[in-house]
Amino acid sequence: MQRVDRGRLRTALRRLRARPLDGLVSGGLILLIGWVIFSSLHWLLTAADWSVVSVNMPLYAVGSYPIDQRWRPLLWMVLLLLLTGWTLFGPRRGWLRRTLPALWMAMVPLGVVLLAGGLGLMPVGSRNWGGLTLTLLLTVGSGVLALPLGVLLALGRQSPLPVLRYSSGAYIETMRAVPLIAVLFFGQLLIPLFLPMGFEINRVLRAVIAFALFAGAYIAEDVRGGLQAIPPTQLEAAAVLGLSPLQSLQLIVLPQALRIALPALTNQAVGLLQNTSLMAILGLVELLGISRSLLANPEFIGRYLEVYVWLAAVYWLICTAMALLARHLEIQLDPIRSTSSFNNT
Amino acid sequence: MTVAIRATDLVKSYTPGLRALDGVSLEVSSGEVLVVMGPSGSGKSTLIRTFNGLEVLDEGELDVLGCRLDADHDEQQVRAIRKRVGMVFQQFNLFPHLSIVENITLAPIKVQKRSKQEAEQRAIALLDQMGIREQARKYPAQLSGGQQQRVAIARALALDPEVMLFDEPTSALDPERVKEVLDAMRQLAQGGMTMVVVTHELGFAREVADRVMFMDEGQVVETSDPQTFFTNAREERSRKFLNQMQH
Amino acid sequence: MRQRLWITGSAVAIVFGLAALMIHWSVDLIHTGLGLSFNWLGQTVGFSWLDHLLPNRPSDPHAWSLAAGWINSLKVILFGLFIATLHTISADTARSSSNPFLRRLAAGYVALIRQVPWIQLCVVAVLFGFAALLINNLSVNLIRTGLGLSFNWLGQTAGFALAEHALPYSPSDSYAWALTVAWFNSLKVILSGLVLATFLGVSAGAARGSSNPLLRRLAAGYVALIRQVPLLLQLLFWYFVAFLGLPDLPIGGLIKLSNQGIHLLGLDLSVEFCAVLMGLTVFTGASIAEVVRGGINSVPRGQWEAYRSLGLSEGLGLRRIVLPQALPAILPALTSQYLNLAKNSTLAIAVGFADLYAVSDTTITQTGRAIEGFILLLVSFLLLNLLISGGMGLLNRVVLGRGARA
Repeated sequence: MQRVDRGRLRTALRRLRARPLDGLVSGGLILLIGWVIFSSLHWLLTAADWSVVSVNMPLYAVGSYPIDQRWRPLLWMVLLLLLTGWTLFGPRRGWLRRTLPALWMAMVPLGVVLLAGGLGLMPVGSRNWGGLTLTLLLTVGSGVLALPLGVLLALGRQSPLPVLRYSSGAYIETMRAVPLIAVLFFGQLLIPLFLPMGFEINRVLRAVIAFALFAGAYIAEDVRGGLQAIPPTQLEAAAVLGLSPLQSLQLIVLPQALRIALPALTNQAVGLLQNTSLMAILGLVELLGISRSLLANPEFIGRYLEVYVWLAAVYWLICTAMALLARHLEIQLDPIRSTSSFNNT
Repeated sequence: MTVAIRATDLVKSYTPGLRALDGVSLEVSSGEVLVVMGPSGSGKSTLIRTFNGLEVLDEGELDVLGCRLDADHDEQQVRAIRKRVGMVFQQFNLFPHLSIVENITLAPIKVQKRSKQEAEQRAIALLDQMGIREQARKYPAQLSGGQQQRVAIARALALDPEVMLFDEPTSALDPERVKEVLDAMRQLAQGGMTMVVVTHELGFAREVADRVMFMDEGQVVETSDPQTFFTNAREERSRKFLNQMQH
Repeated sequence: MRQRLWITGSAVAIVFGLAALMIHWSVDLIHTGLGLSFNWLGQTVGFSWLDHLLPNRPSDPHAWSLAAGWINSLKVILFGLFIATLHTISADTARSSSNPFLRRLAAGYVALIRQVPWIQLCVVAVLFGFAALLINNLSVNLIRTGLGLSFNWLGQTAGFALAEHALPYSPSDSYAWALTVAWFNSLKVILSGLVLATFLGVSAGAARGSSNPLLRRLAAGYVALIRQVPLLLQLLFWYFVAFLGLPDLPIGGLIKLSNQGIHLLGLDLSVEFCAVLMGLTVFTGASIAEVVRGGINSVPRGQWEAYRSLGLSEGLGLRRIVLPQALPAILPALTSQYLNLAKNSTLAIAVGFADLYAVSDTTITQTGRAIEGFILLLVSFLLLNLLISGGMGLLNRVVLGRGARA
């Protein structure tokens, strides 16, 4: 065992100084990494004070939600976790599988009802929603709205009808030209202007709509990539079997296109989650927003590094988990890779 | 004998001035096997693709099983025809995201509104007939080309078509896989199916065809019984083509 | 066929009629205020429909005005039905007419009608109705708030100071000038970001394919870390922790670091600028590294074996053999990363850098001109995008042209 290790070490060392320049580069890198590790350890052991994180854990989780009602956002997050697990590890076919899209759709109104109250629950204003709960609500809500919007836009862009094609194209290109922060800011300002008078929606919902309008354009391009990857002969085959255009879209084209677009859509989902942090600039207290307000508190003044390291860790964990889960889903949705195990037996 | 397909002066061009079909007329009786041969670009694929409305005619008219098709492309007529006419493509065109059984049962369930159980029983029976019953739960990419093409035939048959169209069904296959597909088609012909087959397989044409039609440059050069066509073709162009094919 | 023609005409008529009705309703609602009550029906309406069958005066009660609206909608629907019927009958008559020209015309028309996907046409009608409703709401809201659309405010004095300006600027200058200065600030940070991010990204991308395992892992770690953390968080880190935490550090005479800014070879860079530049560079660099790696992977492995068998060194082989072949795959993805960088530069507002978006934001807050501000921002970004994609297109042509000649 030891001999193997030593052998491997020797190989590694040899690779590190394969050429004179390599040796120099490796040496420099080792020095750099050593310095980074040393100064991080030094900061962790001597200067870091994590009370800003540990004391405010509930704030990071649910924001300034009333203490006796905190079970509501927590319940929603647990349900979200369960649904994710169900999507990944639940049965692969059957009616339970088919209910999944509906369940995901239902998570949004459920989250809104749980957070906002009503139906026998104590009403809680949207200014008290915050932390990870709000980050997730923004992500899931806008994702669930943006996906159908993106699919419709992608189909519109492929449509034989010029009016539809050009208007979808114009929408997509305009949205992709504008920075997200501008869309969000003007979403807060302008959405009320486009609504009938007296029709008010709260700013979380406005943010969700703005995010969805923005992400829809990007999703449309990803879906279009998937649509273009499907050979036109598939449509011929469907038509010859007597399927109507709508049926062949639903049964043949979209399932294939979405599967092809899945990796790109995952990137969009991860991007969406990261981008919810922009709402901190516009005054929502999601993960980053709540940290900004904590850092403004005299008790925790100057504790930037601790808070940012903690936040980076949280975002990194969620995003990496999303990417891994998506890869799992990709394999699961690939008919051959997911069935090969039982074909061999 | 009743007429299954009657075509009158069909004209179709993709680029102006260049006619893929240049005044084609023919009749196919029910129960008949018509093999269409000709060099590539002669319009034979275009011809059979007009029979189920995949290509829209420029001029002329078609009567397929009593439904009329002409330049005035009527979607409803086309769909009515497609429910009664099956088609098999050169590139199989199976749906890669559906299993073999799902490929076959899709149209019976969604178009003919049959029960899932009934459709699956029929699918298994058809796969059995094609000799690939054990592949039922696999996916297209896991099958060989010859197996995929037999699935495609089974998929078309599942709708109980009255006419079957074959567009070069063996051209994309490895040589050693051609026979299994031709055998399935021969079996179908013996069962009395009306078939229009575009193919380069001389042996199949000789043994199975009731009539052979030779096309060149969008026109019908000659139509004969296989015996005459292969031993004593009337036209010079046919003889030249056969000569090239056999060497 | 007759049935189809008729259904189509009627559907269009009904959709447009309903859209018209909805507009009537919403306009009427605006003049009433809120709350569920029907008293307003008796109140004076204060406006009149331009187009009306019922006699219509501003002094009429709401109920009457609403009725006039209903009648108008009904008129649209009836008129549509009438046209639909007329057009069915005439097309049908023409098809069986003895005049061959007329017959062919009608047949062509019917064939055209059959080509149109009806579902989509209805979608278009609904789309237009929806857009009309939105625009209607917008104009009503603008009238209500007394804003209207105007760009006159651009000439007014801005009144705010800009901490950073490449062009001469003072608070007494106009909004238009403030926005122009901000546009150049944005351009400055975007262009320097492009250069640095490309350098960092290409190095990191190449390092991921390096034979040195330490370098390879470091580059992989950089990409994995940076891409999974929000850019805004990274910007805040660079600003509050890295640059505001800088000690006074005069390194030699030409470079001077401090938390007031960076003095570099006669260039004075503000802390805000440095933080934005650093954040954009590091974040975009990670994405570019992925693009470069993907491009390099798209070159067939045989090319490596080929240059190695010719005795070329690794560095030379990468520069002269692999990268030129990877470029056609890299450039389009690189363009979209550049556009992302330009758009992401608007996050500068979080650290107080006076870029185009930050100044637009201030301007809108001061003037209340949200829609005009949005339009200006949109145009500016379209211009920036055009600049970047135009430049990249030129580069693409040069690269592809060279490839084609070779």
